Amino acid sequence: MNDIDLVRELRAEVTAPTPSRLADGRARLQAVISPGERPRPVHLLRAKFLIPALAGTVAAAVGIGYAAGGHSPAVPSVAGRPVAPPSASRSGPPTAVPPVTQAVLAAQLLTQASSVVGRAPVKAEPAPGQWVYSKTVDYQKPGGANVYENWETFDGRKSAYFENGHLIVHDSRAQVSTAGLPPLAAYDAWPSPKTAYDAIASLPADPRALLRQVGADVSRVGADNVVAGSVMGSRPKTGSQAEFAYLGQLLWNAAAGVGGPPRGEAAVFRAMALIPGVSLQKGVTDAAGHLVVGLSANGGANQLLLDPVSYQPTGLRAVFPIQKAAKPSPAKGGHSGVPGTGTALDSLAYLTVKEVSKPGAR
Amino acid sequence: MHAGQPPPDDAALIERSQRDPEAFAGLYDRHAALLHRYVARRLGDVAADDVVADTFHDAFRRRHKYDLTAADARPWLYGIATNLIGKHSRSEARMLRAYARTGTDPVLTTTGTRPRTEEYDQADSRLAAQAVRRELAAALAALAPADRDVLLMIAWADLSYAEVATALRIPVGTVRSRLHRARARVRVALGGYDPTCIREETHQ
Repeated sequence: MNDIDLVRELRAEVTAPTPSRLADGRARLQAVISPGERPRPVHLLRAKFLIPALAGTVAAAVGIGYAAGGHSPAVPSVAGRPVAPPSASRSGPPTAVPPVTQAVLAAQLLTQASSVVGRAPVKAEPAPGQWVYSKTVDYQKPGGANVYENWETFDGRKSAYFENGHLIVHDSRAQVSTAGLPPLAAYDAWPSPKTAYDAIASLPADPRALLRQVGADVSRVGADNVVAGSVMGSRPKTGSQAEFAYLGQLLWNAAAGVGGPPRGEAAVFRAMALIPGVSLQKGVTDAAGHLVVGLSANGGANQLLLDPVSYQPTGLRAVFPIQKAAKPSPAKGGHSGVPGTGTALDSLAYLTVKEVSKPGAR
Repeated sequence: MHAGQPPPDDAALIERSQRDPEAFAGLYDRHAALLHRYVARRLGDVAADDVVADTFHDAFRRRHKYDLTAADARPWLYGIATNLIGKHSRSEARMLRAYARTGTDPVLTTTGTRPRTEEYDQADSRLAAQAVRRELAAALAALAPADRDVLLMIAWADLSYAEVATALRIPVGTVRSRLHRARARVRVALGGYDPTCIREETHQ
């Protein structure tokens, strides 16, 4: 036995780590890989689709050109019929309207959204183990549309889905502890419908104070980590973009359960109205084929889609950015093989979200 | 490349992770356990948790700079881990010295261990082996951190000279010289004790 062998023997009795130890490390890595998503077996980000209970006069007030009767019932039953690819904005690229006008329109819409959601009935916070069923359509270009069904507990600790006719229930995913964390930090560590609900509930009513708090949280987490890997964009270029993406994603994740408390959601919309550079995309069709309104902080490349009546998040979408669109070539008949400006590249929308008694129930 | 090491497709996994970040988790599944054990042997379980998590965190951030011609990512990962271990070098040396002084290894009191399956059946031989380990711990504590890194990457992580060179971004010749220096100091620290005698005695 030489000296190297002796070194090899030293502490040789140290064993490999236990699976739970490794799972913790893997969860920490997963949080970096997709901070807006949990290590879940199927699509995570999904919003509920509420029945519009309030008369929609705001659209006309802010000049959104909805086709008469063009807004479908808000609880669509698209199962069994093909889902049309989401269209580009009917009014053309977002820059068709001057930025100042865009900002005013967006602020007006967000202020109105704040007023509407603030008057909505208070929704009781479900128990952590409450199962929530959701059906989501995800359109990707290329690839087309896929419809997913998923069951998840309100706290996100369990999930279930059907595979080859068998219900698969996951309850052993790597768990991230949120004990003792402030609500926003808990949401950052483990963004579930519950932590999103609690985070929204914790935000200050004053919009500027809210933005300061969110801005501080974005700084702590890192702007890149806020939305990496999500439809809301991968690399916010400004603090404003990061704050908008953070708040949009917060609303979206809350909508995967029962949304947020009305007062909290109203405060979020009021705060979003103060974020500079937010623009409005009108006449947008979401992945479920419904006319919605899009809001974006990066010129329309990544949009939060709202129901134009209830102002609840209904979808997210990423479109081919204007600056990357190829100029049409007349010599080649205008076909460049590159998606046109405003073409949806990724679009998510809820078909339904509701509380159910057990996984597999609809 | 060592036989029995992870399959040589880490580069493909990392390349895929540049389009599909989720693929990077596969690298963790493949290498985290052995890396954790290596770090735990140096710093204990608790510090190993953080070092391994930070290693993969840093690796994920740097994946776009990974040399995709390198099929095996272990040298890259161990290199990142070694930098992180370096932040604990005083603690590492302190634990080694404590072991040398007291005969109780702080690392073993905090980590999962398995019974030794060693060849020292007789009590005298076990005591002798214990004495050698304490001398060895003292010797490792006294090494320059850079020399200790090379010695332990070869002895505990089973990396080749070339892999250590890649991991630490130093020439292979430097690896050899650091290893030579480390081994010489270990032998001197063992005080003329001829370790080979242990095996000869126990097999008599």
